[in-house]
Amino acid sequence: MSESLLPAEALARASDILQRLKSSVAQAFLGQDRVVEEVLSALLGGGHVLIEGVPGLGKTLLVQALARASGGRYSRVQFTPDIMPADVTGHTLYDPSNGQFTTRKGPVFANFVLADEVNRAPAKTQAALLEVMQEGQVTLDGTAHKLDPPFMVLATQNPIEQEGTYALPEAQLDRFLLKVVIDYPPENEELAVLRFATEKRSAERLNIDRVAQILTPETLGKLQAMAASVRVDAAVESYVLRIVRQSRDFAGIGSGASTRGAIAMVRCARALALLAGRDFVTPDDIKRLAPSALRHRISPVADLIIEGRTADMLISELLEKIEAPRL
Amino acid sequence: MELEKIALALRPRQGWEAVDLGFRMAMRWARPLWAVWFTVFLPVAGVLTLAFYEQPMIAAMLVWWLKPLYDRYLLHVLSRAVFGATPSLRDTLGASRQILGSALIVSLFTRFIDISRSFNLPVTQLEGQRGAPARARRRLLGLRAGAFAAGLTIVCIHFEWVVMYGLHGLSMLFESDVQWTSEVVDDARPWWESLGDWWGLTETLYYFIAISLIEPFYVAGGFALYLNRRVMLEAWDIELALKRLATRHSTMLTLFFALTVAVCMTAPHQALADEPPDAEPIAQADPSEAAPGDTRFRTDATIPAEDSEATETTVQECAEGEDCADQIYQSVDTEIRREAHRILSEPAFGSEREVTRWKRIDADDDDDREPVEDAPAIFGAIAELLRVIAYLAIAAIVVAIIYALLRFWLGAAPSPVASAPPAMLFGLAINPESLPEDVPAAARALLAAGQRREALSLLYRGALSNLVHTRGMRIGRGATEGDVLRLAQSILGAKPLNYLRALINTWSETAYAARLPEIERIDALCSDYGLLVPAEVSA
Repeated sequence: MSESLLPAEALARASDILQRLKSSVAQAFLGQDRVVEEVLSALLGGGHVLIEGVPGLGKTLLVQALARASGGRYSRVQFTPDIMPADVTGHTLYDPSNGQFTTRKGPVFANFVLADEVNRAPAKTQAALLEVMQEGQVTLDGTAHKLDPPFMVLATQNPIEQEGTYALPEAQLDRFLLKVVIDYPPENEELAVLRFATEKRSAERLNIDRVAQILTPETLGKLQAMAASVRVDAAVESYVLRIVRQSRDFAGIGSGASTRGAIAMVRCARALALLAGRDFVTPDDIKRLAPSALRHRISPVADLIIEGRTADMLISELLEKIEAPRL
Repeated sequence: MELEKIALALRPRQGWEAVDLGFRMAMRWARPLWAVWFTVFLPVAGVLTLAFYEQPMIAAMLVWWLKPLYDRYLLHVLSRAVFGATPSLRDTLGASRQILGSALIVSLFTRFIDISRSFNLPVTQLEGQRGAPARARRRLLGLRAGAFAAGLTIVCIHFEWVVMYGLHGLSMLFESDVQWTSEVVDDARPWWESLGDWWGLTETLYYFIAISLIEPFYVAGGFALYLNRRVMLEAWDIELALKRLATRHSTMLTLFFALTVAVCMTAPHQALADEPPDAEPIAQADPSEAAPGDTRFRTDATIPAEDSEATETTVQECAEGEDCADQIYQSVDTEIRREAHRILSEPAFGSEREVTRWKRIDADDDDDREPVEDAPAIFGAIAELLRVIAYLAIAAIVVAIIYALLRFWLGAAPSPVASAPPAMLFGLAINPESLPEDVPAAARALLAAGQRREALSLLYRGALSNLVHTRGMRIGRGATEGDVLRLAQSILGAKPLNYLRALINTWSETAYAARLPEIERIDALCSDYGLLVPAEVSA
């Protein structure tokens, strides 16, 4: 059991900032409150996010808006089959004019990195990126370069075009704190997106003018520290462990969630509680985040995949069968 | 039997090949088949649809149940058409007494669920077999064709549904604002209950069209399987080949028979004496149609003795220039038998050798066994017991079917399991008996005693008890506090919902933040308890 160390005043202030951050991002990324909330949870949890969704739902816009509202630097890497690790991390060049090696830092040297269509890159480039995600530093020509915090990678992949892709292995998927699925918005919200994107605009360029900067990278670091102090009751921890452990024996799941899955749930649930203005985690936070924390960490057996059953369906069944904490 | 008139190329076929032949037969005689089908089927379907206009599914079920009736007319047409005597519609309807008289009632009530219906039908209708002989006959015929007959039934059932759903889908394509999500699938009720809502007059019409399309093929396929089995068992193809051979060489063989006549005059009984004593008479054609059954299809055992006498045409008649095909066949058959006897008497077949093998002393042949005196009583008792168990099992199945039908027709009876709310939830006893009569007063008493958590727990239990036992809310084992609140949104008004939200938030804070709420806050919850549970309910 972990005790909360948050004074009420600090908690209220943090909640206020986070709500404003959420609203600011939602100014550009309309109609996807759940997605914004989950991405913010991962941001406060200090993790990286794999975003899956069909083209045209605003994945790039989300990252740009998040970077702007958080006051961080943003970069984008479009992954292709011929991209090399150096194109992502950077490289050193010999400069004949002065006879010295010059370091050119790659796009990962930013606070928010959008790895667009990460599954189109070959395995070694994926591995280079995932290593950076894990280590938080880049080694160029024998010299380690620390990445400035906050560092968050938001990788995207498209669920409908699998031709010419290199599926991420389970071990690498496990590095992502959450896998967020962006679905089509409801009709009324899609109408709002349509109006927002077309009124008095003719260019294709993404518009994040309405997104205000709410915090600085330093403030974000403090908020992450606060999130790590949110209380998690022993009953809730037990609930998380039961979910993860039962996923390993659950009928229909070939390989269950790792311990990192349990850690991801607790870290994000803490952030979600802070976002809701609470200094304690409830079973609802866990249940709310379990699909995003587990869907890329479990694999349904082949028979169920053929029948069209998805990981989300199995997680839903799992959550229905596991008894919630009883006090 | 006038096999030479048969319109099919007789030869032993594989099962599906025979079914395919049946389908070709249905296409070949499509006009008389569908004419008689619609003549018989449409009035029955029309009357039943009108009678059960409000419940078209019952009409469809009755039409399905009466399938053996229409099948008999189809089989009547086919059984004559294969012998080149396709009956007219008038003739077929005129033979209704013969068609329907052969155990139709028994078929409808005892054999209406027969996985090999079209294959077994000729045994009853054409051979006129009843009771134990019919069962033995079906068993014999079904030995190598039963699986194909069952497969034919399953395939045809599927095709009926394919046609039906195809028509249903086609009609939906023409509807502009159709809800594509299936109500049957989305409905949480058992499928047979929601089926009644979904099944309407149009579905009944589609079903009628589907069976009208498939049923003649089904009957023809089963009949072809039956014919094929008879070909295998009784070598109809060889018999037919011999007959044709005999007819082709009748002139030459007349001379041969003149010689035979001379021999017979000198030794009139010698030829008959050569035949083995157990030789069975060969079934010959008998155009008369004595009901029940059709002599074209009757087996040797079912042909009366006087019929076989026709085979003993006198040599004198042959000599006088009568049509001697049958007689020639008989004589050729005798020659063949003689030749067969000669061959079998050769050393290759006729040699004897002594074989020695080990045998258990107590393993006597069945025939040698002495009957155990007590055996009949013991086995009889076991048989009686098994009979009682079987009757009980059948009775249970019938009761279950009746219960399911009643649920389907009269509406769902309340399920005792579904209606029984749980006594425990979230580890808390929530049955009304476990709670004090006045929950807020008891909570205040606990509060006065300094037991804040217990007071809050009591209020929470009371709220859950009210939701589950009084308002009928169903809460699963995986439900969290937030789930309870979401479920309650659909059954509570704004004020009770706000109260429940405040109570759950306070309880969650106590439970998961280990932070006891202020006394005033619990007291307020006690005061507002009536918003969720009115006093008259809690009393």
